Amino acid sequence: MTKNLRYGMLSAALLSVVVQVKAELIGLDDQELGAVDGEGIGFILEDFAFEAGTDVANGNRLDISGIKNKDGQDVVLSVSQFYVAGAGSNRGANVIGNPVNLGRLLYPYNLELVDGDNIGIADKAVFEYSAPERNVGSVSGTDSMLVLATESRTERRFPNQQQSTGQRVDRVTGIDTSVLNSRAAERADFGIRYDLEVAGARAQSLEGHAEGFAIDGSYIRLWGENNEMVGNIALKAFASELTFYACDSAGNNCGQDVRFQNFVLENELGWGEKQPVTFEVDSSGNFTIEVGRLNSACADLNSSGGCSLGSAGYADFYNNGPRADIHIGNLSVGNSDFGSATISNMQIQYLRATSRDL
Amino acid sequence: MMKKLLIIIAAMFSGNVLALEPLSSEDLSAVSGQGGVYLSGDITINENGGPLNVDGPSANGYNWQTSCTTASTDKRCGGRIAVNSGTGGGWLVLDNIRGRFSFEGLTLRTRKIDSDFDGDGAAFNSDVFEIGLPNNLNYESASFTIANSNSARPTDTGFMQTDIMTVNINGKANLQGNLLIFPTGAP
Repeated sequence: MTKNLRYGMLSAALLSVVVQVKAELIGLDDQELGAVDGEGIGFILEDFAFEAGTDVANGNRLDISGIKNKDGQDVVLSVSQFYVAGAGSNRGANVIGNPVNLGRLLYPYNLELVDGDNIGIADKAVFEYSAPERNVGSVSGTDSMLVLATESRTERRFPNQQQSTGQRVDRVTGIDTSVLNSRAAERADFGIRYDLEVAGARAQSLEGHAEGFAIDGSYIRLWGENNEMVGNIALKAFASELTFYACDSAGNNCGQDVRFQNFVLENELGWGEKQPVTFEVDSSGNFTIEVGRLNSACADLNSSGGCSLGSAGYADFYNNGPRADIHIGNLSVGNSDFGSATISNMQIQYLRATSRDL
Repeated sequence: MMKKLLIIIAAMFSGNVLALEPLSSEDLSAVSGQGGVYLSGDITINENGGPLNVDGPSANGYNWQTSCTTASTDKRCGGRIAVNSGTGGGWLVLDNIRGRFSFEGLTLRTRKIDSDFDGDGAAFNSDVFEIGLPNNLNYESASFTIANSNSARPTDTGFMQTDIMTVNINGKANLQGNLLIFPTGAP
């Protein structure tokens, strides 16, 4: 065999390897990507405290502008303090040196690409940003913080359905904090003081403070569908106390405190791919958020787009779909208590909100 | 013949010198990194406009050139990030990103956690990447606008934009603590 022939064979062999390597690069489709279950990235903030906007006299300012009142005058929210701190912050007086851990090593804030098959979004890889997860509560029996008392009632469970008798939710009897993985020392105090400036003149000073705040169980899930970004959102918040009050333009002569004690918000927007939430900007530059129609939640659609089984076709949505619960353990103004307030089992079947330039 | 022999012997010796042995996992796990990185930063973005405002295109329907002072609110002066929300739709925009931002004392290091954290540390027993937050952040006319727009650039034909709000920060923000980053989930 001549030298030239040998080089020729070697070159041919090398080239064939190169060609093969190129041929191996093929795109992954949604289905293949949907099987991805990568490790996530956990974040926690250790010994964290933050304070901005204090000492306005020395030029520390945080202004939010772009709002106009009904007379077309510019309204500026001038933040004179925004803080995040540990328990006992005393409405922002004790911030730096009073830190808090946000998230736990075993239950961190998490950024992950999850397998959609496990969360009701078939054959999709779903980007998820989640707060510390929740437990099943020792008293509530679910991952809801609300402890419910039930009673036997005879009523229609869904619109246009026959009456039936059974155990129904009667009232909220307590708050189950064992649902939260963030322990008492890992719930933050945060607050904001801001002045309303109307047409350059300071009009009023407002303050809001939260104590023992946790957002365990909240998440944002995003994926792509028909060249559009869609998602599901859960916002679950607990604060042992929320306080609001207003003062005069110099920050004095403050009004009475409006206090929400044991505030629970459990809100879910969207239900897997059956009811996706879309965020879009239309061609005129206005923002639209839409919680989709429930068509795909119905097992069998009739020719006019309705559910051929009527409301019974949506039983799965009524029983297991996303809902919003809001509970305030005690509402008080000054020294007067107004007792508790609850909004429960609110379900959004369709929502569309669009911004409009004024 | 003698020369060839010498070269062979020399080659054998150099071979010995090159005998770098790989470290086993066990040896590597005993390595302990020392120190870390201490960073300070001072970033100014488009304080008096950007290069496009000085000698950007001014023909073919584009007109980037304008005089940008610190107080100017012209949409061409600041940085702009526009994200398309869907085919044929409009753009979510972070506009007019301008100003100065500085910090001192941001630290980067890795750290092994196997105790404390109210009992979580022992169960966690793993390494984390630690970003030590600086004690304060200084801002000088740092601002940005959150907006929605019908086109990517403010010089596009028929440009329309709805500004939702503008945030302007001056002065100092105080903070303390560490951001810990680590892998989660079962591999």
